[in-house]
Amino acid sequence: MMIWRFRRLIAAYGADPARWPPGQRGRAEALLARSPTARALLAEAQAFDSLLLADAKPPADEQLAAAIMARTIDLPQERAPAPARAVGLEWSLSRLWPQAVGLAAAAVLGLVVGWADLLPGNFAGGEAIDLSDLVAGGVDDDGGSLL
Amino acid sequence: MTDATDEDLMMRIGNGDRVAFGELVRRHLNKAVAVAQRVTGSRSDAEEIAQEAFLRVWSKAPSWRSAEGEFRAARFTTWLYRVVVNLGIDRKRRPAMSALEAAGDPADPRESALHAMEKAQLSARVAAAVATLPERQRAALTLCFYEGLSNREAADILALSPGAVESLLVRARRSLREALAGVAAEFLEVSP
Repeated sequence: MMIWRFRRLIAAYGADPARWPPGQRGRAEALLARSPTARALLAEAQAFDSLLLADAKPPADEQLAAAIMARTIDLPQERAPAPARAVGLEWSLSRLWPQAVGLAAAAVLGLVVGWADLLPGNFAGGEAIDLSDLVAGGVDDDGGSLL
Repeated sequence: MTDATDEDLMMRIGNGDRVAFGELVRRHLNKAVAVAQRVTGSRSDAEEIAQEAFLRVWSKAPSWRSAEGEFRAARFTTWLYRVVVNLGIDRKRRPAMSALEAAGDPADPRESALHAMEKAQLSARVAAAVATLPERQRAALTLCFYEGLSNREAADILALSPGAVESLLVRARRSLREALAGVAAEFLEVSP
């Protein structure tokens, strides 16, 4: 550490190495070990620190702690915000249930229709259905529109 | 209970644990009052601020468990000091209500009367000099020098960079050297 940096260090944090930024403490102490100028600066800063520390604050009165405890007896705690929900599955189900119901209904209808087509009577005498009849705009055997 | 971290205690307080709250108050009340007193220059204001800060601790503790961002990410002490400093700066900006406290704190009765008076006078003169500092210099000096926080912690509390905190400290101590030049000469003469 250069002397100018050491001078700045104690100008900011004072003479106690415990108050120096940890990353600079070792280099500052190494400088102190080899530099009389640094030691003189430190001694001068120690005297000033002692003066500043003459302004000691007395500990808090125990009654203050008791007063704080007493004031919280009737003080409600704020409700914590709702925790973040697992949006993926819940969001999907809430949005997709109409489609799921529709899909299930279609499946049931398909089973019913399929079951009806598989009855023996349909194989025996039933007429074949031309699917085109069921399509809008389809034509009948005469070429006329079914609609 | 005494082994629990502050953050553990906050979790318990969030569940309404008054014993945990009492422990947290016991741990940090003195420092909260001291910080507030240095920022405001008033003992009575400092005690009110400390009360307000700890009532916030109680009421907001449930959010500690689930909150994200600033409140949850901060260490408890960082959050507490930030509340105390901000309340102190707000209070300091109000018009002064009492000049009586400039006389300093009552002397400790165990000391000799003369020595206690000298000590009280010296304390009052230093406190008065600190009180004239700009608020951010005063807050930085309080946190780093008087409370022993690292410049990084002070930077978090004051929402500044560590370099900016260092600059505030340099300016604060330079101003105090000038303000206390006469006091320092007397002090050095009488101190061993």
